[in-house]
Amino acid sequence: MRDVYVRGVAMVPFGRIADRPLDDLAQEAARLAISDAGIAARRIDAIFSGHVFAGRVAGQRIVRDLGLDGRFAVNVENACASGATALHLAVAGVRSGASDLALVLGFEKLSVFGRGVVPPDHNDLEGMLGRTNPATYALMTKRHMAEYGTTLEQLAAVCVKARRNGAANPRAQFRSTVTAAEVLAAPLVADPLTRLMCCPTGDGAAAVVVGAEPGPAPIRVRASVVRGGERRGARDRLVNHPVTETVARLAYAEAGLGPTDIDVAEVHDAFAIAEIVHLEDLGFVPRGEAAAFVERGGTAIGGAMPVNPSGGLLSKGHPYGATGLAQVFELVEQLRGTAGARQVAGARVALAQCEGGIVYGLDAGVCAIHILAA
Amino acid sequence: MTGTAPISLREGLFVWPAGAAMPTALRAARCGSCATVSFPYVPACPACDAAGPVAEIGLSSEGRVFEMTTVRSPAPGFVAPYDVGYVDLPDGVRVFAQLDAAGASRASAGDRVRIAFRPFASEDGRTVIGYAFAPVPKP
Repeated sequence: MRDVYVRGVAMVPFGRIADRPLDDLAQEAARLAISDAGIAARRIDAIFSGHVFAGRVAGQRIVRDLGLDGRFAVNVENACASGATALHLAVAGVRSGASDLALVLGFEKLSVFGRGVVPPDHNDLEGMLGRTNPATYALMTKRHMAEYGTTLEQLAAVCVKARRNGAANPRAQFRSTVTAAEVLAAPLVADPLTRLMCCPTGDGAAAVVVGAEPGPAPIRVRASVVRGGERRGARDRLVNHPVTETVARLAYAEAGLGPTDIDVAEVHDAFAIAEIVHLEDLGFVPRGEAAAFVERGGTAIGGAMPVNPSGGLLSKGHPYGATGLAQVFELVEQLRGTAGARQVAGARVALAQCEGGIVYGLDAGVCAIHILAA
Repeated sequence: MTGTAPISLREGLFVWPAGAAMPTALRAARCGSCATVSFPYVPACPACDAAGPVAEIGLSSEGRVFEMTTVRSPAPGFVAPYDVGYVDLPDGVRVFAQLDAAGASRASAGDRVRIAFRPFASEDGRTVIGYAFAPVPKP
């Protein structure tokens, strides 16, 4: 197995983008990533496209006019981890020698569902019974509060930090800060989560080029791991996601690293409680202590463990297929030292963690983790 | 008349005797080898590789709320606010359900609740029957 390097990244700003078709956004991300890689597009020999709702063979439709027809091509769906999973498959392809230079696209236009909720599919029993994504995380929030004393003020601190970082991110959907009081006073979505404790729905695209040659200023993929969610028994305490613990353990082992080696991380903060739980599942903070750690500034850009310098899903947005690759975009900027006002000083090793989907009886649909190093 | 009879939220979800107006229980599987109970029913045990028989059982009608939340931004087709949560049944199964009020009483974590089968939606003019739990009156 040979090493894999990130050669180029791009991200189209996230938001509710009424005036541009999805394909436009995805094509722009593809062109920018190829340009960032400094390679001729014709050298791309494989295309992995992550999305949930963009339609059949969407990737091939999107790259048709980019001179990228006729390559290995596949579309990848793993709910909110579609983009990260597409990246994993691209990395696996380059590692094995099946591909030398792969383009990974992630794109989504959730605004097609209007202002409302993305509807559950009919195979989702809980969805047919009235479950919503915020409700699922509200249940975990209440258990985390009951078991560890996590408070609403600590949840609000996650959001305040996310929005502060997002305000410094020109590609974030939300570019304004919020106060803890505003977070707590926002309308309830599923008790005790308020609207500002939930990521927004929106549109966007991102792209990554990976290859076997290091290129200038190499960024190496130290780990790339994807696992489906794990069964939850009736004795589960509903305070964490075991699949994230599992994938983290595998990723650290693959990289030959541990949580203390990570300088900066992008994690799947679809809801405020999720950042707290993922901090614990990733081993950055002992179980039950992440809420207090966030509250005292531990995850700020200048903190002991900077998390979501991009603003995270809460601030940057969450167009499903694009999210995992947008995390990589931010981390590559961090490792290159080009993150500007969001720069984590001396970032050399970065971790991206993404989850996807909710399935009755599992802790999550999937978890995907990448570790990158300059 | 069968063309207008109510239908289940999902095929095979319930124990619903022929001719009965409503289901009588949630339909689950109990493994003949390791006794693991699985809901919804599955023909093979997910916990062990035993080829042995899986018995079809009806789950208990009463359990305890493990945790609940009030949904304020509803799922499509539902009217908020409504409560949902996980109910732990003595069969060793945790089920997701809507939590209905019983009079003025709403269930909180730890409360005993009892199952009720009731209309959830309409599909092609037929009533779709689902299930919910409501507080058991305290003595």
